[in-house]
This record gives sequence, structure tokens and C-alpha cells, in this order.
Amino acid sequence: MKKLIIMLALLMLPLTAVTALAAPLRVFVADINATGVQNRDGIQMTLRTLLASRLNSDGVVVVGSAAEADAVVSGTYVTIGKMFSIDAVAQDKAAKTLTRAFVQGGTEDELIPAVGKLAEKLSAELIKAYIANNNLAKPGSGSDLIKSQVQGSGVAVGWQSKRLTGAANLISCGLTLPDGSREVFMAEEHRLVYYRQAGDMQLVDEVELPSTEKIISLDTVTETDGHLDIYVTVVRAGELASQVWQVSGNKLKLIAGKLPYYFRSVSLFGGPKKLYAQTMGRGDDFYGDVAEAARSGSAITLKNPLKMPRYGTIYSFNKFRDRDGKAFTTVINPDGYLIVYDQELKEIWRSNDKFGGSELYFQKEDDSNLRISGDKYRWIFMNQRIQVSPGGEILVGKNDGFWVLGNARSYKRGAVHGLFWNGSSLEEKWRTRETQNYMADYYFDNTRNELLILQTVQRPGIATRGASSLSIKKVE
Amino acid sequence: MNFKKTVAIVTAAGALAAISVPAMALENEFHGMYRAFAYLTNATSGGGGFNLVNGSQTDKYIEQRARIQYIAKASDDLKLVTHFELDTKFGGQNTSAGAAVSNKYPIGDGGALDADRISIETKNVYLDFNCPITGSNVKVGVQPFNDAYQGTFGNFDGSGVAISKKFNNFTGTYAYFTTANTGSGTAFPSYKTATDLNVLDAKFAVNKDITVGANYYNVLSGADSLFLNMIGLNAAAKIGPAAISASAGYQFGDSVTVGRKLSAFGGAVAAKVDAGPGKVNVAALYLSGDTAKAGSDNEGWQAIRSDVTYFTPANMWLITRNAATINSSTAIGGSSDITRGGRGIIGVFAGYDGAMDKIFYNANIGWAQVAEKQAAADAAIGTELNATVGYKLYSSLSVSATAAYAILGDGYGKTNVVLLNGANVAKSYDNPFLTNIQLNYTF
Repeated sequence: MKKLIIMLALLMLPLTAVTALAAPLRVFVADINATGVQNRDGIQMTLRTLLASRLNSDGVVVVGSAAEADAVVSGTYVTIGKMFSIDAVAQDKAAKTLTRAFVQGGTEDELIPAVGKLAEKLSAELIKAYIANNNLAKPGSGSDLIKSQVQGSGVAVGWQSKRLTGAANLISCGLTLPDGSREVFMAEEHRLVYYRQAGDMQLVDEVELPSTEKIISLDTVTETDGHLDIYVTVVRAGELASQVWQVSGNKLKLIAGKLPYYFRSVSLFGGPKKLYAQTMGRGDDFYGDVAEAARSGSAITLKNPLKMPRYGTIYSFNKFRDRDGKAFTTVINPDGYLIVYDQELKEIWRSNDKFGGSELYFQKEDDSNLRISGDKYRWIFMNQRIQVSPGGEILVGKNDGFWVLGNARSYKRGAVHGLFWNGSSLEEKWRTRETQNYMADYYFDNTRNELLILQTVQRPGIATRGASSLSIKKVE
Repeated sequence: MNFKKTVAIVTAAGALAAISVPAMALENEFHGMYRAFAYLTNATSGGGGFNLVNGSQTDKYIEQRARIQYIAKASDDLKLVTHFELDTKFGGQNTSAGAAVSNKYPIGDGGALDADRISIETKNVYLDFNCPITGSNVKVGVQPFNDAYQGTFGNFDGSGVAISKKFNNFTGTYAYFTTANTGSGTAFPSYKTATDLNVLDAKFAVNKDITVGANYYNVLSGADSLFLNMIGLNAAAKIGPAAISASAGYQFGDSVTVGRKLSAFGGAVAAKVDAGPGKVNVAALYLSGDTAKAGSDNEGWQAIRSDVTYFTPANMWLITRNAATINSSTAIGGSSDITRGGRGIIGVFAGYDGAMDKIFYNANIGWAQVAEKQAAADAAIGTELNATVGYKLYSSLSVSATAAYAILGDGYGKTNVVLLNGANVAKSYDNPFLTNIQLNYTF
């Protein structure tokens, strides 16, 4: 028996080694500056393409943007006399140099082989750095990096706010201010609240919307001019009447209103946060494609529409890449199952466990429903959002409830789960401790690698606004 | 092979088969409703009829309706929907087992002392699945159906098959219902005594703000050799602050009265316009009426059955029935027939509804007359004023109070002439009124 166990252990050893090396390094090839040559732009583009395709190997995958990459390679191409030299440098996200390499040659015929050699050198050095540097060993490494502060070990850690007046349904973060404090925005059904979070939550300003307007989504995007736009998706009388706010001084200032769009700022593939929009139709609650949105005054322009898979709406989807750089779409369906779709938007995996769960909803008048269900309104529930970290982790909230029956929902605890795509399924990597109350929303601050978890500590009553609390947990 | 080995092999094979079959998790989904009305009125008594009285008689009673919907969901693509209804009048309704089916309580209800009655009714039982071959959605069984005419042809629960398929912004539907069978249980062939409804419906979302539709319905009746055709158009649009829906239909073919040809028209339009904290609602309805003259075509708008007609945008309680009503679901004229026996209707309605946090309210005014008075002296049904104010105790539980008052038109209000209900009275009917407290819980 002992021999059998030893044999099995020996057999398992190579498997664990393979797991440790299984996640390739994601590299983005930036510009290769060419000097002393004719057709400079053409050479630069050619060299960049050559290097990118030669870098793509078992251990390295070349991605399409710096935001998705673990390392960024840039370089120079110089000709002096009859000699050329290509010098490259690879840096991590913090602009720390990981490795340098160069190749040189004499004629144009030697250029392509030289780029191949350069790619080999860079790959070898980058993989060494990848293994050596823990910061790059996140996706699929199999290591339990996120344990001490986040996993449900029973140890209460992180930052915890005091009781905040108002049962907020939504949370989003804004800018980090020069004093190190962070802008935090929360939304109740009819109220937008602006806090600054440092040692404590400091209420800065709040605005109340008319009782006929219900906030169903709260999102922030930093504009190119550095201003923060706060997109408040509002439903009024069953129609979208969304608003854009900005912080001016210490006040919230309405910039645009009555916008007929659902808004969401989201980091697809864990990349930079972009604003997306979708419309409402006459028959469909979510109509048409989800598209990138840009604001100019009160005008919203849409571009780069994304086709949604089944159950895909602006609020239910996100995208991620596997280790080979293949893109996938994940959606949380109305029943709470997490579904992964391939590039052709065909379902390839579905969770056995339910995720999501939200008590936030909006209603649309539906006369035909009155005779059938007895309710004049159709209820459309929002759900916990799926977020993708720059490291490729898929974050999703999950609420459990003792009373979830039809449209009557009352959740009692929640948690955020971190999953990663292991090539065939989404596997849980970590989860936060369960909250003591309904987790209304969560926000992943990828600039600080922190999870902001909003929970309802007291539901609103007939004459009270209820109360919330915010906890912040570090994700290593 | 001995018996033990055989058993072991069979057991192992069974176990293998069991683990080979993919696990199918059945989702249990429940929805439901409870609604109770406490009435003080001179118009209704909870039995389904509408009383026109001239003796200042007032009734007070309480009635309730509960609905339980259970959905057994095998997957996103396959579910069984069951929906049951329990109607009760407080104190019970004194009806015998032989009472007419049209009575709201043909076999009594559980409202009497000790509640010993079986009052459960079938509302829906149907299978709802997406066909893996065609990608179409199929519903088979007793299912809800809403017409494309805002309820004026028929919104009902019926036994049939509905197949729909979406192609981008286009949705096509074919539905078939057997709406009645007048033959006895052993009658053969049974289709000769059945009435069938066939529906072809097409909807196209032009953009996010405009949807247009076209449809063709026919009704085939083996018993009456009836062949009714109906073609129609409908649209829904959001124009500025207004959400507008409209429908129009033309009926031709055979009328219910054998030997007369049918030529009827109906049209309805409703608009909800954002204004202040709420909405202004306006609606207009026209359904052509039959002159009942021998030799002429029947120009009376036909419904699939008179008691399944609605016009919800009217928001009336007395001159047309309110879709929120339960057992007392009726209007002036004594039935839920919006056409008053084929006379048709012309009506205009307006109102305002809004909400202030947990308080909601509405107020409405409406006027209606029949399109053809036939033998009656006048066509006017009346003018109604009503108002409701309510409070949301919880997100799914509300309590509200309603008051409605109708000024009878000369079609019902005159004396010593033939009225729209066929009566000739020496003392005019009292104007009907209705007040109720409603408790409403849906989930």
C-alpha cells in the first residue's frame, strides 16, 4: 500500500510542476522606434508585427493591449553604416525593467532571423522573470495567494465603515484625491450620495431625486480631461431617464439628464474601464447591442457594438481571455447560473452553483400582465455584476436568502467569489467571508486591488431610509 | 451464470447508467397573488352580474382571489407551467352543484363556515419549451393569450398550441386554440362541434422606439359553420414623452347569425404621456355595432367570447370593466361583454396616475355609448368618474381605496322607453356607484 501511495505521489509531482508553469506570460509589444532609416513608419510596423508573432510561444502569449498584459516590450531599431541593431526592453506594469536584449546584423536579409533570435532571448528571460516574480504568477498558478485577508478563514480583516445612513443599493468609486482619500459614490432608490473614504467615510454631498425616479445603476468613468463622470441610470415611469453628474468643488452637479440609455462602466478582459450603453425597446426590456458610449454635453454617441449571447445584457456580461489569449464571454443568467460562451457565442460551460442575487429591480407597466399575474407591472431584477480583474480573475457576487420566491426577495448574506478559467470551466480561487446581511453591491477597485463590499444593515421602512455599511478587503 | 452474479452485473450496469445520465436539476419557481376587495356599492354583489336598481339599494361584501403559480423548470429551454386560482366570497356563495357555469361560483366556494369547499380552478397548465431543431418557442396546453387588439377580441386562458420564432427584430407567431366544444363527451367526430381559433401574428421592432405588427385571425366553428376572418395592424411607439399603442382590425366572413355576412371594424388607441410626477392617460375605443336589420350585413364587432373582452387602458370600473377586478368583474349592461350584445362601443377616456414614494394615486373620467342602439331609444351608456389612492406597505403588498360613480346615459337612464338592456322602466335607475378597499399582494 505504501508503495502505491509513493508511486501516486511521484506521478502527481510532474502534474503540480506543470500547473505551476501552466499560465503563460501575457506580453504586449509596443512601439519599436526606428531611426536612420527610410520608410520609418513601415519599418516600425513590420518589426513590431515580426516580433509579436515570434514572441508567441508556449510560455508567452501576445495580447492586444497593454492593459491585458503582464509585461510590455518596446524597442529601438538603429542603422549605423551598414550595420543594424535592435534593442528591446521588457517592463512590468509598474514600469520596472524585467529584462533587456539585443541583436545585430549587417544586411536586410539578416533582419528577419535577427528578430527571431531577439524573440527567443526575450522569451527565455521573460519566462525566468515570470517564475521568479510572484507578481506575475497570478493567473492559474494554483498558489493560494489570496488567503490571509480575503478567504473565509474566519479572520475579520480589512477596513470596515461605521453605520451609514440610507440603505444603498449601489456603489462605485471615483478618483483618488491628492490627500490619498478615495471618492465613493452610493445610490439609494432615489438618492445619490458622495463620500470620501480615508480613515472614515466622510459624507460630502447628496442629492435626492424625485420619488418617481428610481436609480438602478451607478457607474463612474474618468473622461479624457480628467473629470469624473458619474452615470446614474434612472428609470422613470417605466422609461429610461438617466443622468450624468460630476463633482464640482464639494458638490454634485448635474451635467446631463433624461438620457434614454442604460449605462455601465466595465473593464472587459480586465482592461481599462470604458463606458457602455444599451437602449430599452417597446417590447424588449434591453434592446439592441451593447455599445461603447461617448458623451459630448448631453449627446451620447455609440460605437463598436458588441453582440450579446443568450441572456446577455449590458449588466449581465463580461469578457475574459484564457491562457492562449482566446476571448470568452461570461453571463449570469436570470436564474443565477454563470454561463461561459465561446467566440461564436455558443455556450460551452455553465456553473452548477447559483451566483448573483439582488433585491434591486425596476418595473415596466404591462397591461397584458394584469390579467395573467394580477400585477400591473413586469418586474425586471438587476443582478450582481461580473467583473474581470487585470489578472484575468472573474469576480462575481453571490447572495443567499431565506425568502426568495418569485418577485419577493429577501437575501440575508452575500460574498464575492473569485474564479479563473482553467481551460474548461470556471474554478473558484477564493471567496470573501460572508457578510452578515444582504450584500447589495460590490466594487472592485483594480487600481488598489481592493474589494469594496456594500451591505444593507437595515432595510428601509415606512418612515426610515435604512442603513448600510461598507467593508474594504485587500486582494493580493 | 449464477443469480448473485447476474444481480451484481445488473446492479453495476444500473449504477453506470445512472452516473452516465447528466444530472438534471429541477428549478422550482413559485409566483402568486392574493387580492381582496371590500365593496360598498349599489352595482355588484360578487356574483358576476351588474345591478341597475332604482330603490337606493346598497350591498356590502368582501371577496378574495388567490393565485398560485408553480413552474417546474427542467432547464432554460423546458418548463411546465401550472397556475391555479381560488375565488371566494366571504360567507360563501349559495350556489348548488347544478348552477350555471357562467356563475362565478358554480360549485360554491370556501367562504362559508369551516371553509369545506373545493374552490380551486385551473388557470393555466402548459408546457413551454424551445425546440432544439427549429429554435422556436412552443407552448402546448392551457395557456394565457392576449389578442393584438388590446383585449377587445379576447384575452383569455385557453387550450391550444402557440409557436413563435424570433429573427433578429422580427417575431412571428402561430397559435391555435380550441375555444369551445358544444358536443357531449361522447360525440363523434368531436371536431364538428368544436370552435377553433387560428392566429398568425407578426411583429417587427423598427427601432427601439417603434414596433409594428400585422395579424390574421380566423375562427372556425363546426357547429355553426362559422368562418370568421380578421385582419389587423397594430403599433407601439415612444414619441417624445408619449408612449402610444394603437390597433385596428377588420372582420369579415360569416357572422354568428347564420345567413348574414360579417363586416365589422374596430380600432383603439391609448397614450401615456409623462407629465409632472406621473402620467396623463388618454384612450379612445371604437367597435362597430350591428344594426340588427334583416338582410343587412352584421356590422357588430365579434369577440371570441363576450366575457373575455377587456379594454384595460380605459381605467374604468363601471362603464367598462376593470382588469384588476376579481369576481365582481363586470360593467353596466350586466356582463363583461364590451360590445353589449353586438351593439359595439364608442368611448373616450382620460386620467392621470402618479406616485409619491410609497403613495400611488389615479383619477379618471370616461364616456361611452354603444355604436348601434338597435331597438333602444338611446345609445348613451354613461359618464364615469373614479379615483384611487393607495399605499405600498411593502414592495409587493399594497392597500388602496377606490371610489367610482357613473352618471347613466339615456340608453339606461330614461323612463318609459326601451333601454339598452331591453327593459322599460317607470322609475329611472339610480346612478351606479362603487367603493372598495383593495389589498393586493403579488410575488
